[in-house]
Amino acid sequence: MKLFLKKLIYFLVFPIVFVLVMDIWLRNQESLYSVKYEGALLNKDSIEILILGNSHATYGVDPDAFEMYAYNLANVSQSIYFDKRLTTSLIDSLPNLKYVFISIDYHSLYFSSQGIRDIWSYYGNKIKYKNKNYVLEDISPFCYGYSPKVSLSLLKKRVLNFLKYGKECLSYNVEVGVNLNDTLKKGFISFEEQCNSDFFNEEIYKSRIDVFNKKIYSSTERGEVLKDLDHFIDNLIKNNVEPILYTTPTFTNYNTYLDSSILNQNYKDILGLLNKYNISYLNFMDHPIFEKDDYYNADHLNKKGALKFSKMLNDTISKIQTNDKVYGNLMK
Amino acid sequence: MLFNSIDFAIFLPIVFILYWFVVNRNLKLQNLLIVLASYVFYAWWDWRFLSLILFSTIVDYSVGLGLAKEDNKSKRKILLWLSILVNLGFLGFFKYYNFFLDNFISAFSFFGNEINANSLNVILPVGISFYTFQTLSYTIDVYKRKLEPTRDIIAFAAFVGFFPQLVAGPIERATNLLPQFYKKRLFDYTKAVDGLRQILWGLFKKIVIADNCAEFANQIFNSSADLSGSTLVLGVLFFTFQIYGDFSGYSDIAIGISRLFGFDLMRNFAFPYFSRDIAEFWRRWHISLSTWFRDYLYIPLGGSRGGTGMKIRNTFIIFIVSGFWHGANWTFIIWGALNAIYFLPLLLTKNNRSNLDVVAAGKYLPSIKELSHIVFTFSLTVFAWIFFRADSVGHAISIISKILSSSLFTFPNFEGMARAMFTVLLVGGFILVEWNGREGEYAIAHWGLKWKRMYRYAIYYSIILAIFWFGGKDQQFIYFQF
Repeated sequence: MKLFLKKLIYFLVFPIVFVLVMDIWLRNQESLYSVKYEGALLNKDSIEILILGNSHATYGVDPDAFEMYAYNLANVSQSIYFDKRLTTSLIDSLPNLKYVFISIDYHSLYFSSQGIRDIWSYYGNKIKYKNKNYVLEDISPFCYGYSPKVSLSLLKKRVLNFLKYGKECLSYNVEVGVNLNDTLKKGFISFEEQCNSDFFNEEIYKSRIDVFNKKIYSSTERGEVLKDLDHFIDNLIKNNVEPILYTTPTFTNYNTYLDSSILNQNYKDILGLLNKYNISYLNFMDHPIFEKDDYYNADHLNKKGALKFSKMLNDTISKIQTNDKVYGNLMK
Repeated sequence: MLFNSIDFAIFLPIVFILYWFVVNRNLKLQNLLIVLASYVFYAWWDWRFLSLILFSTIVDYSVGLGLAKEDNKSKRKILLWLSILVNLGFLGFFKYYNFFLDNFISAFSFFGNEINANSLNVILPVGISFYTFQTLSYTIDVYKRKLEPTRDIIAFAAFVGFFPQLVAGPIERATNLLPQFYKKRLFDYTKAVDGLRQILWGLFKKIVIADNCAEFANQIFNSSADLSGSTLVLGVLFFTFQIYGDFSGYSDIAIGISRLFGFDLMRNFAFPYFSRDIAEFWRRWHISLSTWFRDYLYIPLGGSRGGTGMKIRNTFIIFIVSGFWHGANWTFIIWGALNAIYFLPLLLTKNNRSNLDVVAAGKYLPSIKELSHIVFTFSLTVFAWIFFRADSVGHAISIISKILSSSLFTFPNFEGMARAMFTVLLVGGFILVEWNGREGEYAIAHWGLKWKRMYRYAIYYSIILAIFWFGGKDQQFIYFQF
């Protein structure tokens, strides 16, 4: 037994040291979540507009296109649950905040979790998902947090990027398609040009939408998410901040495969909130002004598209002050 | 608790330390620890169904004692049937109730009689098919006087609930496992190290091979209507390696863990996809189940001793029952029948025991003849898996008709094809390792044993890294549903 334990310890020394080193490295790693959050705190006195949402907003809304000081606090997969808690954690520190843009996409009203991305919000912004206890995740980000697989791929990416671009490139993880020599401005970084793979392939649209549909059809969270959103809007209004609901543009051919009954249900739910709180909704989903060149892939804008879209958002702010509270269609 | 979970990674060392350092001087306490650990292991999934295991344990223990006291033949038979009815009654209710009800209703509707009966939302207790057969083996062996009944209820409870093999086998024979609980276990260094190696290889098979293949097999089978024949062939091949990696991986982990605790479980897989005929395949695939059916069903039915008619009848019975054991669906029954059809020509021509040795033993490569036999047997097996994996008989037939269409001659294509090609490469590498190690108990049993420790460890670290790096999305072990 002694020999067995001795050799087992010998064998385990290397993996244990490796895990400890990885844990230290991961704890000290910046992420887009933490960098954006810290950026918001640094500019807390200037921020007048806060942009929330998932990857569509993360890479699709350029705060520089706004006349007021806007800040993009959207993150990949970020659900309304996290939008709300992120804003709540900051709102008292943002004295000049006037508008909060809340993104409502095809699937937004059906889930509160971001799946494996929940942990990113926890490490980046200290936001916990529901009553989940993060004891193990605090002990070892490698084993229990990011997971060994994701941690190793982060390490691989970091090493390869360092070798390719040197110290100057972004020090945190971003999606493929983002220029690593770019800089984060007001929480925004964009996709360059267009995805090289066959993202504009109809089969890809179908299967991507299928993934959403399967989750939506089996979701039991709609009521809960709507209640959370309602509460979020109510809180913002009570803090003298105007919430603006919006839907980002997605490529027209892609939109034809979306389930119209889900879209109509979304619009009914949105309409209910508009009537209750007299707030605005800007629907750019099928807006004809966006062409193929404006997209990185079927449902994400690229740099050019983001600028175009953000200018339009800026223009509509002044219009909705005086005119109609709804921009775009409410029914499919 | 799943073997490939963090919970189990914490549970196993705790039980190991308690077993070898705290209760190591007292056999009864060691057995009691195994019982408690096994119940915790099972309750992690659903504590309510522990009552079934407890009930089965008490019934079979009591029946065993009853058989020991009773000499009257008919009373002994009654005791045996009591055990069979209780065990198969639970199995029948939880696993087959809805199947029989639905088919009963369909049969009556066919003759114009409508019956209103509600099917129940019955949850299948994990592992019920495995521990039921294990306890039955005890009662039958005691009845046949092949085994002395135990008077040690803790040892018997440990035998029924032994956590490494509780939920997915190998289905142990009482004659093999139960006596191991009576003897003091001494820690055996070689056995423990070999156990760890086998666990590592089992995890690789499950997490890297099975889970990666599962992703594409599920995707292809779930959208089979829209895919070409060649893509469907790829899907069936993915399933072929998924089920092998999944189930044999589980068995390797179970056997390896048992070795850490000083137990020897029976071998469950012996490189079945290198078989040269179907008879050899069935001597190498899920050995604990095949031999269970052989010993407790086929031989009592007369085996292959009778005339041709009897041989055909018995072969069909054993294969169809084996198929039905896997699940309450006609697809499993057809899968079993298909294997009976494959097997019969070998049995009737007395060629069913012509390949008893390891293929191309001591050589690097098989001969052309051996290779052609392997490929032919493998193709038959792959074809039968279509029924095993399909949702219904109609689904299986639609897949086969698509495979037999002209679209078979197109290049496979589906969303995720590029990633699937990487999995094909992984499977290719896996086949080479398995081929290389086919003369051992498991593929890496003898790998690097004579190398310097540094190189040997490098191999083990590489396998661990591969598990983390290439591991597929978490999938439930397939055999948990049986």
